[in-house]
Amino acid sequence: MALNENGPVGRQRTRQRRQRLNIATASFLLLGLVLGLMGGLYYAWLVAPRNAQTATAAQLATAHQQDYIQMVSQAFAADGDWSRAEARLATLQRDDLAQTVLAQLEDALRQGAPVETVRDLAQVAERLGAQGSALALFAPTPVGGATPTAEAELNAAVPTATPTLLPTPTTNAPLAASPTPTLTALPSPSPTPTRQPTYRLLDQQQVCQEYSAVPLIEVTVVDGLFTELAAVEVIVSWEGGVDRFLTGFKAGAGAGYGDFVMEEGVSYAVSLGGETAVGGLRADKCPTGSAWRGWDLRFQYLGE
Amino acid sequence: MKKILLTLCVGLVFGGGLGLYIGWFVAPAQLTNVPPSALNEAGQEEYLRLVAAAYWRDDNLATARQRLTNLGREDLVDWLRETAVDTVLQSQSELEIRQIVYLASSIGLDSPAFAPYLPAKPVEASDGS
Repeated sequence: MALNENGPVGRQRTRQRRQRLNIATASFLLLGLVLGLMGGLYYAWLVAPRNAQTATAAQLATAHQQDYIQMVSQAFAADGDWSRAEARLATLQRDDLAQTVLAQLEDALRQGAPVETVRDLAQVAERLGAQGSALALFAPTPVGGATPTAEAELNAAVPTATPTLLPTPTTNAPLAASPTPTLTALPSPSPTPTRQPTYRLLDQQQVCQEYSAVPLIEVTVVDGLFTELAAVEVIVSWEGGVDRFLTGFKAGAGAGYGDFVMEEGVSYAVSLGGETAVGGLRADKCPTGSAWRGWDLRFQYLGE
Repeated sequence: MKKILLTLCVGLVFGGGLGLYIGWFVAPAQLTNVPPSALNEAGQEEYLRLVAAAYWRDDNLATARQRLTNLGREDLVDWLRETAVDTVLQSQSELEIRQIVYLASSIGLDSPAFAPYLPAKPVEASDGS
């Protein structure tokens, strides 16, 4: 045996064994290097990244960015500082910021978010120049078709002299002294073009009105947030006649409610904001019972 | 066998070192889709001010708490008090001071610096204006 190892065959075997050992050593070194490299990269990238706390708002996950936008809109609603809100939004580094906020607004609507949340987002979206139907519905500015405007337009439509009671100036006049009434003609309103409010018909139903002895056209007007709007002028017209009323003057009803008594056999049309919205409204009897069947109309203010 | 194991260990050490060097210095991880806890210090302070402003607006303490928790700070309470006091001392905006004092006091924090601003939010300001 010893002779064999010292012989040429034995030396060859020894050489082969050494070669195998070297190959195995190199393989294990390589294996160690690869495993070590993978472990090192895993640790450096995932477990303890060197820049673990160096992120900016732009690197936040989508959900957190949305929350960030929400908070910016609330902060803006609280302080009204647009330049600050703009700077905060700029940290998100989004080119499509307006569309992002608008999409978030639409999501908030779908998810039934609180009105204030939607309004705050709408305010920011509008400032960013976003455009969309959701924004039109939830216009952040108070609706203009409401209280004073409708009344003012109603007055402006009839430019007549208004009697004004002017007290006659007297010195030490007794309280009993009656002032002389003077009829003073106010200057006629200048014909400045007024922007017409826009409404859309949300709902139109023919309903049995057991609660009323006469058939009614019942109109309810709401704003973008479905809050009832008072003092909106509603015009009802029919062949040979026209009448108008304002919402919010019916005791015990909502602020956006108003109604009109119909006559049987007459076809009525209802207009809001200067445009005919519904026509061909007729009163008839309910199929069952003796109650009248009138109309229930629901409008939403969209802006001017 | 010993030699092979030793070689494997040497490979692991060198490979690990190389991996750390590459992962930390040559090609550090790019942060994307991170939570607020990954924000830098200034970002976290700004985030806190936003949380305070949002809480001022909606009075939703549960949401405010959740947002603060998202910052993942172990020293959250101390940090909040410290930041609130710093805001009282440095901010030019009374609204901003009141917002952060309102948040801090709602969470149960107290400081003599808060006293001039308590109650932080009068009832009539509840609409956020």
